[in-house]
Amino acid sequence: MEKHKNLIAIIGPKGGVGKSSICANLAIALSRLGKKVVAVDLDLGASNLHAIFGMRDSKYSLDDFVQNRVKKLSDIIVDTGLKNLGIIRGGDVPVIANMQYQKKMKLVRHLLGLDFDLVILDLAPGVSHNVVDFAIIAKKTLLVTTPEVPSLLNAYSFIKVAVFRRLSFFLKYKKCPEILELLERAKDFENYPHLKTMEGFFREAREINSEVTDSAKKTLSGITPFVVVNRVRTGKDANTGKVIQGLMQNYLGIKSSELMTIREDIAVEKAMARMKPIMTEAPSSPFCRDIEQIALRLCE
Amino acid sequence: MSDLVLIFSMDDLRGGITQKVLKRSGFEALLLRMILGAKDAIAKHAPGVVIFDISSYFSEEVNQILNLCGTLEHTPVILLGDRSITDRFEGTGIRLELVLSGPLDPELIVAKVKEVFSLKVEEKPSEGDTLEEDLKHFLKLD
Repeated sequence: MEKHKNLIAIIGPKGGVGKSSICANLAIALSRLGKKVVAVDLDLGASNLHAIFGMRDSKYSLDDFVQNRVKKLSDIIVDTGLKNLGIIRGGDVPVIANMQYQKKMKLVRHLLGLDFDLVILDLAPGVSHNVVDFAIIAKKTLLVTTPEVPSLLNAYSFIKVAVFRRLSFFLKYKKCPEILELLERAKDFENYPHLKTMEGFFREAREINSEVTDSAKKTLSGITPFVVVNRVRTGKDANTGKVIQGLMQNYLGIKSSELMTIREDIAVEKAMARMKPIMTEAPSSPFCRDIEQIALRLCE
Repeated sequence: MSDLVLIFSMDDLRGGITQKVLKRSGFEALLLRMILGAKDAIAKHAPGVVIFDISSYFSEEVNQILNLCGTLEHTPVILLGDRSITDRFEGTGIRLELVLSGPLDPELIVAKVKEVFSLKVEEKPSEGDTLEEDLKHFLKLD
């Protein structure tokens, strides 16, 4: 799968980690850096990005596009009133959360056709294939977690699913059923402990077909999530990101390119209660400063 | 460092409200007016949090606060005042726990002070770091 240069995926495998809040405010920060940005709420069936911008009503949402009531995705972009920034409101019809393949591909085509410098995708929690696929095609992926164990576990599991899905696509494309079978066994690593790490998997796969294995390994080098630890209150909290990075590298062969932290900030809740993005309400707050650092890093 | 909150404010009403609300929330809070000697007062009391209400200070005093903040690496600082003045602290590299440039919001100040003090408790050394082992266990990687 090709990576697309202007797509940034925000994923938070565990719900409630602040993903949408980060998405909305990061979009504002990037637009202030002069980028023409559109934030797309792909938390299908449970959208809330528009609420963070204080939008109670809008004429269109993704439901209208997915259900063919409008032809072009660009027709449903809503002006936020902020310079360089539009949003696409997510759908509320539960069925679109399980979009058919053709509809998903149509959505991807239209996303790529949007005339914006950056398209920021606010993806749903969980590890469904729809979510993983959008994360895989994005040029940059922000993996948002909080310092708590359940959130860290979900973050790791998301990357694991992405790794297996990407390898599975690749091996099917290369028509290599023997290695695909080995990949299936690697999922059951309790019974195949030598396949517990990707290194172990590749070692055995190389004995089947070294050329395909080396290419497969290269495809994984494209998965380089930015780990973002949100609601950091202590140095120990910040270090949880390093732990998850270490596990991803040691067991999944994934090198996370960045580790960024966002400080816990009471001003976020205040802004949420007022249904305003904190970037406009309290731009000097620690949260906003950390978001600005992430925006700068994404623009490098 | 003690659990004292040191408030610097020339505005008796704003400073008094802040002090009262903090005390009502169970914090020890001391209100001081003069910036001259603030450095010594901070050194003497070793407060857990310092609040500078810069809305009523003269420009020269704000400069002193700015310089002082640059030396308070290990003391959490909360800044209250008009945005036109608080903006001067932007880009200086000074770490501020909270900048409140709107109307005085005692509830927000108390919440931030509580947060700062709760962190201090959490940051006390713990019995070894087992996060990696816990994660490996749950992920069945051990």
